[in-house]
Amino acid sequence: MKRILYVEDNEDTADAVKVILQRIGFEVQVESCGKDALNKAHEQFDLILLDIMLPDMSGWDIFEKLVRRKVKAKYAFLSAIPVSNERLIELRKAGISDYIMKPFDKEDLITRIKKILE
Amino acid sequence: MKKSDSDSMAVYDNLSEKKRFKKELKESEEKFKESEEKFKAIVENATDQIFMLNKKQKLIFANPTVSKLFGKPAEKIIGQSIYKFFPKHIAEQFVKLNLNVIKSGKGEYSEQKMIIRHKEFYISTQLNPLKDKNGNVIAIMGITRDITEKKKNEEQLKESEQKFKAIFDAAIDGIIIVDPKTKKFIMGNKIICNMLGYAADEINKLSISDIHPKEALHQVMEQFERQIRGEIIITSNLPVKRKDGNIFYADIASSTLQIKGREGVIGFFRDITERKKYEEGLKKMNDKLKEIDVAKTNFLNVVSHELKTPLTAITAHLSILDDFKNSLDEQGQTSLDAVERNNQMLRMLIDNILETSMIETGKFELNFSKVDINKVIKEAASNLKILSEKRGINIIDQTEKLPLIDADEMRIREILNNLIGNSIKFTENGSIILKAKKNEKHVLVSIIDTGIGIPKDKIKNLFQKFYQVNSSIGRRYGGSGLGLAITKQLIELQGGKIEVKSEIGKGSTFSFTLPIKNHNQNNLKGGAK
Repeated sequence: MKRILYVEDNEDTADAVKVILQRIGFEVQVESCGKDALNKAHEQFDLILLDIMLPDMSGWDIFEKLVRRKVKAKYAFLSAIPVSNERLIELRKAGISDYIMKPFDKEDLITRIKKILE
Repeated sequence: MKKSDSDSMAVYDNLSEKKRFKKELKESEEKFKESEEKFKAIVENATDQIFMLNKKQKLIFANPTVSKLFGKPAEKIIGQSIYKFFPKHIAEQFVKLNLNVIKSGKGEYSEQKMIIRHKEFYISTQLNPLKDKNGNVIAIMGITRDITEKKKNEEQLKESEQKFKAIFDAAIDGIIIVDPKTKKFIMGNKIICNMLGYAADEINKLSISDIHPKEALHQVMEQFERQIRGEIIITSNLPVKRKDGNIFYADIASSTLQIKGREGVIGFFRDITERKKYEEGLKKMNDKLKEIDVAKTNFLNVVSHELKTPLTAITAHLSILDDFKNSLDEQGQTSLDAVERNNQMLRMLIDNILETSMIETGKFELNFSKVDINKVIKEAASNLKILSEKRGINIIDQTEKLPLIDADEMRIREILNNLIGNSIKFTENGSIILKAKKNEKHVLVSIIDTGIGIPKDKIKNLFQKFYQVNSSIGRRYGGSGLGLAITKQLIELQGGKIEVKSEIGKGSTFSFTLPIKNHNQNNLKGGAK
């Protein structure tokens, strides 16, 4: 079973995403801040899905720290912050598999998460 | 010595005397003749009129120039009274002068303007008495001169001086005349006195260095020299110092001129303090507006982000709830539908606001690729099929086969959704026809409906943000009021144009073009997919 770490400070959104992804057969762990996420990350996840605006640090900070620690996983952002095409290219080059906009369509989310973990 | 001797001596003497006298007389006669001839030549060839009048004011001598002036030979004018030559009032003036000369035995000078043989003349006249050896005046000798040219020049000069004075006194600009060598002021008008705060008699004691702040003098002198050389006409924004030490700013225009026989530089000062204040005010206001604009954009970004956070939770949970829809009763299902529909509308509204602010701040980007318009139209029509069938409206696709175009596929989908969606909203019954054709370098897409139509005077506002033709209809049909504004911007960003034709009660046609080849494409790959 593929394991996903979802970092999200909005509990309701975290719950919904967890339910949606569990239902299609993934194991989902949720953390609500950067510090907890960094502690949890060593537990071998296939995908680390990050919100960007978090209370203690940004999703991007978490990503950089984990890459520096050589934590092997796929990374993706799930955020409401618009992103420019240029920035998107940079993110992909840096190792971000996808950038999913909030609010998301359930079916779209499922398709894209599946694709990352293929 | 014998008497006869002395007599003969005397005779001899007498004889030689006579001889000598004769010789001298002859010589003097010749001299006189010569001098008379000279005199005659002078008188006859003089350009001035030379004449003589007797005490009865009759002409007794006139040189040919007089004949010429009156256009009559000498024999016709000699002996004539002065009244024959001039109109009464002029003649009377001369008579008066002549009587003065006779009475006083002194000369008289006068200038008259008169018309002789239909031509206007200015004539100067010098009258002098001719006296006998006892000092009695026996005649009057006169010399007149045509001074018309001189007078006219004088008049012109006077006129131009008056003009200059009028301009000098009435100008809105401060005017000053400067000696280019000493840099001293020659004269200044009232305005410059007011500007500088000096009295009129103080101005002439000043020089350039007195009316500019020390630190600007170098620049002022440099500009002044350049103005003298004619390199520049206007010097802008120079600091000028008043008597009280206050500084104001002026534009100074200049030109060179002759004044009292010497070279002068005339400078026109325009106080631009008010203008500068106004410009500074404008700039401040502009900066403020820019700040506000940035703040507005930031605000919109923050707001839409903050709105999206709860919206994400709502949308996500709704999508989970949807899986349980069948276990709800009829009211439950209707309510869930209503929540989903309104959630959808809220999402669209926020997206539109964000999109508009991105377009306005230039942060909006397009992803160009080769787009199959036929395919996009077909997909748009089928996506909106459920909505149109619900309202009993048929969407008829009559598009011709089009070439691939350089465009942003996602944005074209958005354009079509907006336009077809709009047509469905405003059509009660009938159909919507989709047409597309190729036009030289463009494709032309039209959406033709049989809807309620748009009043002519409202069409021009149709593409304005938050504009709704009829606010009650707007509320009934819903919408952000941004759809058409965004549509227009999306089309124009891709090099196209949109236009509307409409007739009340019959329907509307929205047509837009898009270039087949787009040369300014801002091609950034890897969109948010």
